[in-house]
Amino acid sequence: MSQLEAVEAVLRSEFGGALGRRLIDPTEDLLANGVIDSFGLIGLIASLERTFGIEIVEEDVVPEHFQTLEKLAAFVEAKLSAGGSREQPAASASD
Amino acid sequence: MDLSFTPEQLALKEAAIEFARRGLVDDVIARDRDGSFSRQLWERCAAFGIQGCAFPAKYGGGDADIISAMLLMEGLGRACKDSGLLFAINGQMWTVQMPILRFGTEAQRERYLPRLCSGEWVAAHGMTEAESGSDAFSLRTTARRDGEEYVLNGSKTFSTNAPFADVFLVFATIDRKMGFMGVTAFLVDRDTPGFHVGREIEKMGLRTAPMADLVFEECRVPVESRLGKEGNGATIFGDAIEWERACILASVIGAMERQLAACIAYANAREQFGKPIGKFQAVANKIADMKVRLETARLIVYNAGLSKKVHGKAPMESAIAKLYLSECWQKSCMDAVQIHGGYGYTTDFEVERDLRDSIATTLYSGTSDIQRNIIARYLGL
Repeated sequence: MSQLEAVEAVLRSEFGGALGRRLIDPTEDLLANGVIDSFGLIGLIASLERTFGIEIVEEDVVPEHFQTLEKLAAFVEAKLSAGGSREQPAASASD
Repeated sequence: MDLSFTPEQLALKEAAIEFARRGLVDDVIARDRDGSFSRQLWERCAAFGIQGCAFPAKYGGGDADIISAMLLMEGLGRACKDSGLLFAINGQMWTVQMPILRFGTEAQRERYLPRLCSGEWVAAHGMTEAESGSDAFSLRTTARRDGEEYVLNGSKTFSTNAPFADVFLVFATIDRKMGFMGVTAFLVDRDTPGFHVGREIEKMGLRTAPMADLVFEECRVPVESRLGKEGNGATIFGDAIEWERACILASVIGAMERQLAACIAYANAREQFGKPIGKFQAVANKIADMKVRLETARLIVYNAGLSKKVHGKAPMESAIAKLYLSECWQKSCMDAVQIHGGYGYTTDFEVERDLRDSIATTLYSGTSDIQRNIIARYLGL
């Protein structure tokens, strides 16, 4: 299974209702088409982290990473290449 | 869950109780009637270190961890009868100061945090719009990029602190087609041309924490006023609201203690049918239920705090805390009025104000139903 297919499988597991059985064009705008919504995003992030062993921080959650399947797969690939971790947002009361 | 607070944490709570007893006493009944905010009490709180407690010392804060901050708020709630003041302070801390700390540039942190921690400035949060409440990310306020500026157009409502705030954290969309990922955050100073604070909004409770509309008409802000990246506003909002849900009702634990003590004293002092009303099971059982709510609520709010302290994120635990505390507080406020009978309905006995103030707790920062939606989502539903 390619990286694109693996990410698509995660996307389908989270947004099966919105996607149905139709094919996803890798360049389809998932935000404009309402496939990824704010509630579903919570599950999508958790699922991506669990499936690929990566950590997604708040600053990662921008359209350039989530707008299309192609961008999402590239983002996951970049995370895996970087070792799956990134700098957390600034210090806070929980530190 | 280990709730063994350190001696320093407990001393902080006691200091907050003592501070509130001495420094936060005024005619709150009159200010509640007038819908009047007290800048004097706000500044006293800042001088004591409330607004800055959970923020780094380099920005004028107290470097407290989340549990210490919650204990501080619990102490304030125990002795401060102005729930509106505590609500206004918490709103600023968790939904403006915390996003600036976590997502701001160093220049933004240095400009705003010391002023907000010191009480020199007050901040307000602008997310809700007339047609986007629970569906917050369907907002219509727009931000159009124009060279090195953004041009904001639209309006906000229910912005606590707005009538007197110096800076506003505002959310607008750079492209509605992108849905929630078009949402972007901006810091807007009060004197920015094209921005003005609109009508003040009368409300049922929390009347000492006035709120108003915000209006943006071709309001130009520099690119440097953007908080975080373009399209990062929804996650900034989500992060801030999680902090708020976890922490904003810690003061209610103290308020529930205060209310319980008042009800016990009244039930022992008030006699009907030849004995104290507390000897009647109908009254005693209400008080017993209030105690159970207090103790369970305490566990749940500190569980959310510990989860955030250990894991950084605690969205479900924060939603549980917000849901449970707010609903317990409302029920106990209703019981307190009932225990006081006709006197409970009068302003002088002050339990009716708690009841009015409590109604807002199941509405702001996401209604109870929204909290249930979040919890269900994390349960895989």
